[in-house]
Amino acid sequence: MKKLLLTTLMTLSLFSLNANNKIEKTPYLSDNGCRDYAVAAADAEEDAYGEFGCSEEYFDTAMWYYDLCNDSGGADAMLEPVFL
Amino acid sequence: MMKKILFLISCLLFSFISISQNLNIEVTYQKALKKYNDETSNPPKILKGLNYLLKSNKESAIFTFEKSLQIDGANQRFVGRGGGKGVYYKNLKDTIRLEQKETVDGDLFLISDKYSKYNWTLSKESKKIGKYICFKATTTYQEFNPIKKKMTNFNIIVWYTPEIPLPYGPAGYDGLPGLVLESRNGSFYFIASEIKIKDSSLNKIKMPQKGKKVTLQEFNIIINKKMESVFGKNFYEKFKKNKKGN
Repeated sequence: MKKLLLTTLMTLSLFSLNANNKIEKTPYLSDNGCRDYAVAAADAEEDAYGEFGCSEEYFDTAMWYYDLCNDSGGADAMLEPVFL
Repeated sequence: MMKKILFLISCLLFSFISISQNLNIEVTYQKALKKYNDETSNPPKILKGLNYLLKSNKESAIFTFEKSLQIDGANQRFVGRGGGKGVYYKNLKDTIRLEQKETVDGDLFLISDKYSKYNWTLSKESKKIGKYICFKATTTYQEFNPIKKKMTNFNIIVWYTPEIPLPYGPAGYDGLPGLVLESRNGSFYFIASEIKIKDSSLNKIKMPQKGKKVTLQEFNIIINKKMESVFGKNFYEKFKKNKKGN
């Protein structure tokens, strides 16, 4: 009986760990500071090159920085964007 | 002397008439960048790999980005800056103006917009682009930005040539008494690099059909919702508030 209880508890804890991992891996729910980074970078780009022509231009640019940040492992790994 | 002038005028008239009757052109545009606040006389920098094609026949035109292997990662994000993402379609006969766009998350839209979008101010200022004499035209338009929750002003400058009497241009900058060979929206330019006037076969232009049909206003609201699903509700206001606080 004890064995059965122990196995059940272990399985449940494993499930809960997996669930946590899933949340972390779900795109758009993970953060690493990338949301703030992307919005700040898009804003800086707008200062450098002028206002975005439409909402979609803003979306595309912010998502580009967001993906770049996530691919680099988070906002801590990112440098401030430079606009030539 | 008089004979020479007469000859030149008849040559010009002949080329005008032949183009008007033909109306089959293919124009390649390159996207270029020069910061909007750069007041030097330096030309805008061509962004490698960002080429676009405008095709037209007697009654319609289509403008698309040409995918290229030459494009580098940094330039990739400029495909749609200053316009140019997706497919732009205009039909003079049926007065249709459409844009077909795929969002970054893969949804396809067919966006209808005002047929005569721009109210142009024509100027006498001229310059030569390639072998064509072009005239300057400017316009300002306002659009509500649902992300920023405010009206945004845009100033567009174009150079069009009455020598090619077609009311088309890059990224929907059109409606002028001649083909637009150069346009500028903020820091981003479209510059014609090759113009082919076809003599024989008609350009076959198909109206884009695929995608969810929406108006431009509806599309902007959808984009705002997509952004909020990633960055959180009212993210832009929060960001601006934090920026002011720092």
